[in-house]
Amino acid sequence: MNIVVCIKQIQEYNNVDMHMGDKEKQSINPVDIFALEEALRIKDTIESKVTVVSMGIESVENTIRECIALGADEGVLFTDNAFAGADTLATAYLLSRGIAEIGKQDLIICGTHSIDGDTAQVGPALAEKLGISHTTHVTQIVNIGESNIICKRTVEDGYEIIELKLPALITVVKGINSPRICTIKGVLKSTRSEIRKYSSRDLDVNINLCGLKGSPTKVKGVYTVTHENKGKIIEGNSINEKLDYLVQCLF
Amino acid sequence: MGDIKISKEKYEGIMILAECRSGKLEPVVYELLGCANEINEKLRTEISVVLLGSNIDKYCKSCIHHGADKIYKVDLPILDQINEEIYTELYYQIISKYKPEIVLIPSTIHSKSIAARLASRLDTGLTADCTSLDIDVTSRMLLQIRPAREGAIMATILCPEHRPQMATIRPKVMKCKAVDYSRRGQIISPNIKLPGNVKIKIIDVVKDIINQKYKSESEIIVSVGRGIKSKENLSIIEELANCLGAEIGATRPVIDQGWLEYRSQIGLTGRNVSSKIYFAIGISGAIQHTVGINSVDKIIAINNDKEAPIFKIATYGIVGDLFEVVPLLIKKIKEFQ
Repeated sequence: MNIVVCIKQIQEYNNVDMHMGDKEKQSINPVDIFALEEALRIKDTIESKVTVVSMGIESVENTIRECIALGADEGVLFTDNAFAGADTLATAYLLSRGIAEIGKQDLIICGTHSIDGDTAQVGPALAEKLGISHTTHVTQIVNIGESNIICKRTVEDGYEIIELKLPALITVVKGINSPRICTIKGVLKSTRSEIRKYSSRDLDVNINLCGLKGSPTKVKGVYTVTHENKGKIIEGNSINEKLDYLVQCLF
Repeated sequence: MGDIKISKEKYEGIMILAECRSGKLEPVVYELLGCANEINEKLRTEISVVLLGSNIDKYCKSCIHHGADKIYKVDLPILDQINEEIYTELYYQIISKYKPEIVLIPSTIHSKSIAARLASRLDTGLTADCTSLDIDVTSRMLLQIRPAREGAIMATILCPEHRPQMATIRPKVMKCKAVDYSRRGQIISPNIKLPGNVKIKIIDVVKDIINQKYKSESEIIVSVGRGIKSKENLSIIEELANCLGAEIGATRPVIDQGWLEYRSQIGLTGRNVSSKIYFAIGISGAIQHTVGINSVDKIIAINNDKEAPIFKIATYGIVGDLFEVVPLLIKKIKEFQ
């Protein structure tokens, strides 16, 4: 089985601090680790090739290497200034062209959403661009057959069992599995692996549909939120006193 | 790609994609209608609702009473369950034909997946989880406002050139309009073609009976944040919730740790709630949580950091160690009852 796992490198912001531009470390989008693990579990049981792909800056190569250390067979990075500033549509477009370039895939696994963009849109949009079946919020792969895959998918008030024709794209939730840790063999392999890099010249893409240029949505402006202080901190000499007051107010 | 680009001036109207699950219209549709009517004060155009499903006739009138001018209705047995591939195709046909300038969609698991597919197919922009919408009157553009950077800032997003402008909105973020039973509207059954060769099939739909109580509106919610420190400590929260007959909620860090299930998550990437009373225990009050409790009546915050942002929005705040306060609170509530 040819499996592609899409990953994203994100920056975690110190959200309590609320200073803009505070860069914390670069790391893999948390739920993508579960996506990778799900691919590796399939590889444990069915002969498969797992390719990790990402669209990002040059340093994302390191994050892809970490995925190879965990057990992925290959890594591919789509990197070019022209890809920068992409919204979800431009990202889905680029990924679709990139994946088409690396060859026919049976299954594409993504995380439900990234913790920075938070839209949960790239997975479905990518499936549309590739013209393949898909579903989101998968909590379990029930069965993989010759030509289809059966998934359990969580919804607000329960779950669904969905059968998809292959090739398919699924987005998986955090907690779908317990990710493995890398082995020494894996780390050694990752240091020796060549991460293929594709720029806009290497792919069959329309530059005008990539990056900021290809993004229909634009950020007009940002502002910080301030709350007026409309709350009341209960005063008192002891917790006991404060709670007595609270219970009185409430009941 | 390569289609002749239709001038954006040809797109008119606000269209809402309704969600019906198990034959019932989701209440969020009325909230989206409320929102559409509000922005329509500046836009002055037609508001339509697309109703797909089986036996959903009865909802046409109620959507009109809640502010729709037109209903595009497709009522077929095959639409009884939400097969996202079929739904996406039908919505695509309807949007392509009727060309709304704005499409509003509920941000639910089904509908937001459909929204993303649609935007991709239509090659247009989609903004997820908008917390408010506005219109720039000169340009007639939709201003889509949502938190960014994990809630640290609010961003205003535009879709200047592509049409339709699409946005998803979570339940309980917008308010319904007052119902007007005298309102009239048009009900249209558009010509659609069901897709052949559908690549996904719904084999089973299972309702989670145990978690049904999370679906209904709880009067009281007891919510917990990072301050609880461990899964074991949740027992005092459970006890408090039990003696109040309350539902338990949590912030994302607690869910991320696996101490509670995703269903309990309240906030930007969880649920919005509108209970009467909301206990925020060991919760700092970061924006990505507090956007989920905007519609709550009374917020009671318990936190040992008096500078915690939660105290700015709490109706009542108690600065103290939750491990001291909560057990004592439980005792007092039991005495009272």
